[in-house]
Amino acid sequence: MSVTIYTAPNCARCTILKEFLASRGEDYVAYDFLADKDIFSAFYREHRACLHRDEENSLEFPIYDDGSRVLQGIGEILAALIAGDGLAGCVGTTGLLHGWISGINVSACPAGEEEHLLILLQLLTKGGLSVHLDCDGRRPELLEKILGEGLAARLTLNILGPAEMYPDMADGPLLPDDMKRSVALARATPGAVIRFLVAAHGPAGSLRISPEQAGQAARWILELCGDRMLPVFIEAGPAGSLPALTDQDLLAYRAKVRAALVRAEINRPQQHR
Amino acid sequence: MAELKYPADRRYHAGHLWAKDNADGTWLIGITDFAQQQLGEVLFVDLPAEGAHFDQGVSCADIESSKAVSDAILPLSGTVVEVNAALEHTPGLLNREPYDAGWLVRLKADDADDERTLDAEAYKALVAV
Amino acid sequence: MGHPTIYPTGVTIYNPEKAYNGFTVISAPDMGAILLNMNGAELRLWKDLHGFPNKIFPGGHIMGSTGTRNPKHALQDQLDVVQVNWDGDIVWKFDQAEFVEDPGSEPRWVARQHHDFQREGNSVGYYAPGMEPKIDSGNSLILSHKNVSCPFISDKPLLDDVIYEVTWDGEIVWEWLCSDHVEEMGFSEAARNAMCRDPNFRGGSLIENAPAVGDWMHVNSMSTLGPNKWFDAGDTRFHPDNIIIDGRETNVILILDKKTGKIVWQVGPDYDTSRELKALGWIIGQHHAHMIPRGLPGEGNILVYDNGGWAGYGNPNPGAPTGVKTAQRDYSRVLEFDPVTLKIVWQHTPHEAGFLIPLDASRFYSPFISSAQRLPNGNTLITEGSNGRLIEVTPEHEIVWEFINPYRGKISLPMHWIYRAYRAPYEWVPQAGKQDEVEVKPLDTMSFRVPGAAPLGPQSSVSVAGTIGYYSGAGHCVAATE
Repeated sequence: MSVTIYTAPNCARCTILKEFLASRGEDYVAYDFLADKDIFSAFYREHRACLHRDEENSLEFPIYDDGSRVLQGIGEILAALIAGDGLAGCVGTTGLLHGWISGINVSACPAGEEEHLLILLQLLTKGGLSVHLDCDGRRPELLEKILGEGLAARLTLNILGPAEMYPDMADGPLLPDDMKRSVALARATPGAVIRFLVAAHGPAGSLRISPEQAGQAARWILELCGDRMLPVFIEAGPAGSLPALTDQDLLAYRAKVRAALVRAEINRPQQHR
Repeated sequence: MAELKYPADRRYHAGHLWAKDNADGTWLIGITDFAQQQLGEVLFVDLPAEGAHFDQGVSCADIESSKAVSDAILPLSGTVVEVNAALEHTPGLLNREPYDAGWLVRLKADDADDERTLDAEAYKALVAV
Repeated sequence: MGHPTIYPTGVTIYNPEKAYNGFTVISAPDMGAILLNMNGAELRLWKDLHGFPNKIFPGGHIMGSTGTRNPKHALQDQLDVVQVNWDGDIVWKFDQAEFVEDPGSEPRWVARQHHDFQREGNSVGYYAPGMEPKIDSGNSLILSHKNVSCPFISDKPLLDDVIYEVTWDGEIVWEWLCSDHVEEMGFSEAARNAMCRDPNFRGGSLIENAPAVGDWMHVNSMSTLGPNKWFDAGDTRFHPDNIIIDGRETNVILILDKKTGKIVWQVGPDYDTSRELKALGWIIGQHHAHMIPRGLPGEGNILVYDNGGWAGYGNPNPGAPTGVKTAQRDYSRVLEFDPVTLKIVWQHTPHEAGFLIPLDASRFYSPFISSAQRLPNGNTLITEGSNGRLIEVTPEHEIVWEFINPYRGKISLPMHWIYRAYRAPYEWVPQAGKQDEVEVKPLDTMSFRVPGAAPLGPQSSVSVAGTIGYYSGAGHCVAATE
């Protein structure tokens, strides 16, 4: 099958893909969306339904087309080329631009895929991108390895809820020792953020922790780390099929979390330009 | 970069579309040189159905470029009597000939004397800031 | 102006017929909350109960706080807000706003409250018919501090104002942060430039090692509008739940929508942008801006103590070389104005007080603190805070009660200052019992002498040939404007 990639000028992510394909000795054709605008325009009209745009409403490059599937975004393309579907659950669309890449959750890495994830992160980092890595308490040994190799420029530890809800929310159990190690790793990592991420989970997108459950998770974290001054944030994540949470809604979560972790604060985007 | 052009033979609107009187009760609607430059290369235009009615200030189409998905805010209220079929395969006409072959829709205007539109000079001043 | 070195303190004027008779609470420097009767008897001292401010609630309850955070680590942060009964027992407390570890103190929760608070049932914290604050239930609004970063205002660390709504159990259920709304306030580029350099930056230089913070807005009053005629007539800006605050440093008085948080009404920061604002005149460094509650004379109007002094950000001028505290005036005004037309309905300024403006105007002047409370009989209780003078004036500006604070700060500011006094009806403090009301006629200050001083009048007199007597309204070095 012939491979076509669509790129943008001066695009570090596109260079990473080209070099990866070259290193594997794969043949491919590359079109620049500006220089070859008629070709890209035709491709776009055919595939626009499956292409996504970033937060700035721009198309994300590179785009990869091998005739049977279209992939978009360097993280997802590399993950698929390296591991097939193996990393699909832990490498998603980036929410960051301008030299950063996010959407990679180390805790969702399936057993046996660790080497593939490390290769992916090495390629991104070597290519000049800074990786904003997410974790949720699971897989601390892998997290430690990644941090030790300098493959994450920034780290966010997401506390999804009490441990007993993890199997339903994150497709896997969470062991107390793992969370304890994850908190310790996050605390030892400069700039790392620990946050209660109040997001919808589950197949119907309707499973979201209550303020009481957030408080229960906070008490558990306090037991694990023994430090009530642990700096933690509270943030609303994707709402799924539930109504979106406002800052005022998050006050109830903050109150319950603060009962254990006293410095909990709501994380809000900068209010002014 | 070439200086942007705003022909004096038509009306303009703050939503960056123009309207040109066809002298048969219908008006051609398109995007301005300023708009096409801001959008970058247009990749796809999602045009309305013929016969659809839109109010002034409402979007009648989505214009997709690599940079953005933009609304097409109508400068006049009216009913779509024709869409530019050439855009389906050559949306780049919006960039190359925004005032001629790159028109979007032909509109039967409700009220052609709408005073909320601008002349070329006023529109030029608006986008000069 | 030279105040006398020797002067009487306590109650100096009292007309029981014309005054609204009741109890007055003051926060005496370094002492605590003191309950006064109309003759100035200090009926009860709640020792070391801080008052920012102290308020009287029904049942003989006093609001206040148990103390202040060490000023080396925080600026004007009260540890808590407490409701104390007649016997001094704390019956309600809020402190769970922030958990702090101040050096030298046990880590603890603090309210960081300052300047104001309100309890459900009453909009402004003082008596109005049928609007008793709840004393054993209900939510409270607490005005507190919060440290923020807001590059739109300044790159310096800021001490921002935050309003919490807390339940009787102390849980925060609503929160409004002032800096979130700075863009709605309409500051000029000149004001923003000045604010960026110096957002009322305080700390280090004032108190050794204190954290330097920009107290950029300095909100000093916070109350709800309560039921009012404007809202009844369909003007939704004046929803009873909406909150009115004023910012001393910015000269802004604003009403915020409780639901959306947006600013829906405002005067300032500039008072030269419309004919109505020009007529209102520059409100400077103001305190206690609130809507007169329903049931009191003037209900629905805004009552404010317009301090004068120095406040506001803008273009540099000779009195404000860096553009900070650009508006200045050396006298105060108490204004009652219509929030819709901005027309002044009533005012008490040096002019009404009988002092020539500008020559003698600073005889009614407090450049900081101070307040004005509308009383049920139409009188107004004014706290002229810096020198600790309380006056109750009739609508016609007759002083029917005057109290001079005898206590001077020894640990705190070395002044006779009173932050904000409140008058409450006798029924609100049944424990104090029935009070005598003994008229205190104004002394004839012309003939009043302290022991040892000579009596009034020339001891001998002689005519001078050729003298022609005096003109009224003769010219002086400075023109009198009123």
